[in-house]
Amino acid sequence: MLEGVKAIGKAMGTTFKALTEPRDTIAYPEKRREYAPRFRGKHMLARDEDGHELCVGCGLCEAVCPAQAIRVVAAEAPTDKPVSWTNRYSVDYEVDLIRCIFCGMCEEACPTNAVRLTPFNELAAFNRLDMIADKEELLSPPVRR
Amino acid sequence: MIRLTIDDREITVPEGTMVVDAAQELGIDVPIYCYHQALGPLGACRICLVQVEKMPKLVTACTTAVQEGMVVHTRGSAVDKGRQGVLEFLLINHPLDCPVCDKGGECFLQDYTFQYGSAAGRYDEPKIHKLKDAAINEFIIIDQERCVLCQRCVRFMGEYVGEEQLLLEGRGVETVVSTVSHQPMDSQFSGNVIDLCPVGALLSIPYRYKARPWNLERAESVCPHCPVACTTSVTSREGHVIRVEGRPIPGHDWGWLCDRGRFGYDFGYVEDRLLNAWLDGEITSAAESTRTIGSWLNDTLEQHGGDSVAFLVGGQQTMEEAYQIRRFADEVVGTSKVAVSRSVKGYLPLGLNGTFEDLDRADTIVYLGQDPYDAVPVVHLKVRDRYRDNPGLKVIGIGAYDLTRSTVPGDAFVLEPGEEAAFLAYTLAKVAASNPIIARLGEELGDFSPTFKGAKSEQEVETLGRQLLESEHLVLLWDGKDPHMESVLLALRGLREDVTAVLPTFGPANWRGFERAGIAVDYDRLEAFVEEAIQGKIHLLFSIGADLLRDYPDRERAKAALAAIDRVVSVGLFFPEQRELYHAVIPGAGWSEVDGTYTNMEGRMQVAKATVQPPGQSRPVRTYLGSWAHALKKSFVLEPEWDPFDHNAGDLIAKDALPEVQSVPKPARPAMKDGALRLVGTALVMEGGMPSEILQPRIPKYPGRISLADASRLGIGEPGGELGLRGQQGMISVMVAVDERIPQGVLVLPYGVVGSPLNQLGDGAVVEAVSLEEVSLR
Amino acid sequence: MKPEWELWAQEAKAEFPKANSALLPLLHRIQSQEHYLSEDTIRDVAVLLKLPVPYVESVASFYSLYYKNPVGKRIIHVCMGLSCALNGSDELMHHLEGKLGIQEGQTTPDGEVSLLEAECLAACNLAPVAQVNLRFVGPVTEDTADQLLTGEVKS
Repeated sequence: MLEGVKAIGKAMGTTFKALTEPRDTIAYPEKRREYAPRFRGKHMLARDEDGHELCVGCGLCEAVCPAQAIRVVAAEAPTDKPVSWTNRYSVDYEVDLIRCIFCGMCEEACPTNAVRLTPFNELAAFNRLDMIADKEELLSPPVRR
Repeated sequence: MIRLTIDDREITVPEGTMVVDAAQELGIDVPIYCYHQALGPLGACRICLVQVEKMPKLVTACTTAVQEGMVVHTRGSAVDKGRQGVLEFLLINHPLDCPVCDKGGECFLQDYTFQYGSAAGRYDEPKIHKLKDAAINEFIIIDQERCVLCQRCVRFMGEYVGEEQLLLEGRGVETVVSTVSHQPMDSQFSGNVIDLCPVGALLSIPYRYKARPWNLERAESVCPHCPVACTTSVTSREGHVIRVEGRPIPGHDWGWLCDRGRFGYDFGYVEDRLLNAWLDGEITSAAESTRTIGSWLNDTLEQHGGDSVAFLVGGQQTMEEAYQIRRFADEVVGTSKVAVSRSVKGYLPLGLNGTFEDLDRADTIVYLGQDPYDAVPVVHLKVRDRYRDNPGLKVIGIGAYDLTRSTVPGDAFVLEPGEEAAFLAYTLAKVAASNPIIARLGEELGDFSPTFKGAKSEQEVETLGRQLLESEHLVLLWDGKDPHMESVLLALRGLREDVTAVLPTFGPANWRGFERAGIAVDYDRLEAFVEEAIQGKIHLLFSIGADLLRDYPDRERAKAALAAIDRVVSVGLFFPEQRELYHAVIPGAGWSEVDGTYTNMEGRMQVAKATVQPPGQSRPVRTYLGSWAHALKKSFVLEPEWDPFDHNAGDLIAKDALPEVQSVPKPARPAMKDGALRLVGTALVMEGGMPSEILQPRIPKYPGRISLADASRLGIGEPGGELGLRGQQGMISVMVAVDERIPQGVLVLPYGVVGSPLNQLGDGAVVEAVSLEEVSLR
Repeated sequence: MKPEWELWAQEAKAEFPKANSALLPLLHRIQSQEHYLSEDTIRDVAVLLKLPVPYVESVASFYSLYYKNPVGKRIIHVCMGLSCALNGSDELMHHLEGKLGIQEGQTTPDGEVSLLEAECLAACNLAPVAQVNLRFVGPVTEDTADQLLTGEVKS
């Protein structure tokens, strides 16, 4: 009996000691952690100062992607409304965020610095199709709160 | 033979071999831009530098012939440094376009720079800017900044094809490749410069920005458009064919393609492609159509028996499919009525059939009825290749118009339409009258004597006869129109001591393969089928990949035949002409969608692999055969399949024995009223053939061709005009242009031109020009 | 095609063993009459000498003294070689361009003067040197440059 009380006392001692110690967790989502500046989250496709898409659809990201998560379809840029800085652009650009391992090789391979990995990492959806980010989605990158 | 050492390995090669080819034979890769075996050495790009012991400087492997005891090093610090220097020069004005360049990933400039080039350039000055993205014809764009001036394209067009349409313009760094007088290239072979270009200077417009090499799936295939069946490599991305390239076969074929074969691959994706099954003019489900057709088959068999069912096959299908169709007809339906839809009546026994190797050795080549440039373009290129090797090559064109052209000069005998066989019999009789075979051949000729358009003396006819008999290696290219020519060819073969090879330039593309697979292609069978249909003996017809109205020489008869059949089922890629004559139209699958074997005009069997799935509800014919058999509650086991390459299987129809020589009848010359024209049909690979959106800008707007004299009489100017024609069997209108090779009184019209059906009037028919109003009132 | 060209072609061919050797003299002679070589002229020459059209076109485009566009009566070549560049040929060219109101390679609208670049004319002692109707003038300073445009020249 005495043994039991002793054991409970010891356990509670540890508990109360921990109450006063600094906490290792944060109250997500009300509070958020500071990430490293080079944190690799969801992709974005950048534009230049004039608002033209930087992506020329060369597909090097697609080639280098170890998870084969990227699909690029290029085409001749429309001449009536300038969307691209050159005469070639990507009509389709899809990243399968379920497959993606966020290694950042696409960013590294991009010759026009169009693909960038943002710090945004809150990726969740109720079905798989929603996890495939299309070009429109990638061109308007989400902001991390 | 010469022995030399390359990279410490010994090899023996024939004298005159270039070091680069000797290295190639050893499997040693020497970089190349300008050299091409078909074009010969030039030494323009300098990238193939190698070190030869006892030679003071590096030498170019492509211009150095092998010598006894030569010791060559293809790698090493000196060689690598030399190549690095060459690349540095080549890259001075080369734009950094790789991410947007279609050649990126399969570019020799990239590859060799990666292998030998330096990591950074030392040239800081601004690059010279030249013309970019300029179309040099409907299919090709040029980017002069990317060009390394290897001159492959210029030499191919000028030296190899003989149509000088490209040139080098300017001097020094400002040199560019350009078209003559900046006019678009219109050669039938223009697309080959895309394959030849080692960098991204000449690119395909239809393939522009479509894919990168790592997106692609490649499959070995053969071209389906004409009986040459060139070997191709079909490239697809995401289930879509997006490119066709030539596939060289070392020692046999350079891999050249004509523009029809290279760019006409999109027939599977045009708007007219059938994607659904149709029953009595309504779209229906695949299951419903199968059930209905199965019940038709069941009812017909019960009521009229097996022989009331017929199969009409197009002749473009694979040999395996042909075999399955024949077995289905034999075993499941129990009918012997399987005919091949054809537009010409001729047949060539296998024993007479030559090969392309014969063209390589020929000293005399005779075109019978057709200019190979138009009908089987790559054969023209092979003839030209032979002419380059042997400028003494004799080329003789015998037909209703001048069949020769400047790229392979020859002698033209221009006859009345349809008299080629009689003329040859007449010619042979002149030089070998005593021969019993010739006597037999000429029995019915009577007092026939040819009339030539353009002067030809009796002397020249005799010379021709001698050439035919005495040439050392005779090759004849036959258009298959006149069935009596078979006897002439047999007689010629019987008379001559040396090689006599005939190449059939007529379609359908896989008719030789059909024969091997057990479906006889004789025109008589088609004729018998049409006759029986008109007599009401056929109650159910399966028209598989065929279009009787388009192919059969007499359109009205074809119409009557189809109308007399109770149920007509069509399986194909497109709606057949006058679809109201068909009760069911179901979507088939074709080239690039089914695996199979094709036999070309030289009897060579070649495998074509499928790269894509058939679109929509379209299925290969074997699927339909299986489900119809199922509807009859009969088993039709598709496996084990017959293997065309299995020698034990053999030809299912033995055609080795040569038939007897028959006499050639005297051609009847129809009475020609003043101003009348005679129609001459011909197979043209560009004008006729399958629909294609890519080729549309190239397909001539004026497929018909008439002489200048007739054109000015009928008021047809440049570039051409529409002409109404009235024959005995009806009226058509046709777009015609002037061709100086056509004699007066002849109108050459390709088969299969949409809207101008030659068979409405008939091949060889006498027609008169009428006003267009009259045609529209018919 | 002018009727005398056929004779000229015969004469040029007679001087050389091969037809293509006769090309340069014939082109020169025709150019001296026509002042430039139009695409039609090039086709005619190809026919006269039985050479491929692209061959003649390539040759005509290779040499800078064959003019493929109409030129003026007074043709000024400004040397762009190294010595001339160091001695201010660029400024000279700009000066002439401003004076004539045309760019390098162009002809004044009245058809009087053409202004062309030349590679080294091998007259470095006269740098910067110009040629007026193929006669050397130099060294040309900004002051003397205007004389190129007005001074008397033998052609």
